[in-house]
Amino acid sequence: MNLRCLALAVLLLAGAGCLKDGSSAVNEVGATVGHNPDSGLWTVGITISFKSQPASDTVKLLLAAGAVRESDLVYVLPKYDRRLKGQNQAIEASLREGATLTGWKAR
Amino acid sequence: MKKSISFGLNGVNPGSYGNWPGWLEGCVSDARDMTALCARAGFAAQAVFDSSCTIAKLLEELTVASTEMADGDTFFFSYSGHGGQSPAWSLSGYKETLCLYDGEIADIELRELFSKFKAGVRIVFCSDSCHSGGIVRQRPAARSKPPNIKASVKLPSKAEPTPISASLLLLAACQTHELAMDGAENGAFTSALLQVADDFEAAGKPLIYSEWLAAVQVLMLKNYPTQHPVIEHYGATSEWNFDMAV
Repeated sequence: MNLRCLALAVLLLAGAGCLKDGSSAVNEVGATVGHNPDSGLWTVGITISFKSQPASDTVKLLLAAGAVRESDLVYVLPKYDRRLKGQNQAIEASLREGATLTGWKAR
Repeated sequence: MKKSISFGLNGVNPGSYGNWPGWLEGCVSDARDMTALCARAGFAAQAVFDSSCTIAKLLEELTVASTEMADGDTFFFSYSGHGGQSPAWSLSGYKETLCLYDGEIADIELRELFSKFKAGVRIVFCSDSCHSGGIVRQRPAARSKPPNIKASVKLPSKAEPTPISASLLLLAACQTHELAMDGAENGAFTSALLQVADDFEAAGKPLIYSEWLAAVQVLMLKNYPTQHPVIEHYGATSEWNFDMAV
């Protein structure tokens, strides 16, 4: 690896906070993502499927984020918004347990 | 079948990089958010983070996907982490690499892995890393490996690279000679990808890859003028204009 390049990257990255895109600075309360229900292009929420029983801390995060328990191994976030910190924590914890995410549509 | 895997590393194993920890902030978030985006676009989406992002894991994921995916299937692979360069004979004078947790994998090795996918499979490789514009380049006639990277993939002995039968679309954060910026929440490129995806969704527009990247390039030019995202196609058929949700 080119160490000089890496050193330069580290220096640049150290100051990268000030370059952060405004899109990631939205607070978690009240943020909504526009959705066109007629487009059929996007699902509204996310289904989280586990291969084995998730850890209790992960379940707590899911429920706190508004997830609905469908079974021991399947939880649904009926409305997903990437700017919601609680949802992000729940999804990240689930992915760390090897969960698979799929789209979820109201039915 | 539509399947995705996202790798996100906010650090590497210092022992594999001369005691360099490679700390970053936004890569795990990038992988998480790209996984959610893929899920909402119809993929069965998974992610791996940090110490799970090993060379062996990448080889396993790409090998399994290349085995199980068939004509008409789509595989989305995203990577957020450091990209490296290693001196070698090439157009830029370097080999581009992905810095996985326990070592680097070189562009020629990735290309070889992508060549295992069957004809008719669509691969989308999204790399938010430094120097990523060159990460799938064709191997030059001299097929020597970068001298300081341990071999991970067996390369054929012939001089010409193995042709890619599938359709491979590269979405890269920057050009080969450029650096990709990290951020506290997301990397600059991933942040732009997500922002534009939100905008398209709000407008009821399909997320067609070529249009998505064109809008991202415009946004990046405004916010990060030193970083120019790349969209390139490799493989047997030319497919730039398909919808992520189809």
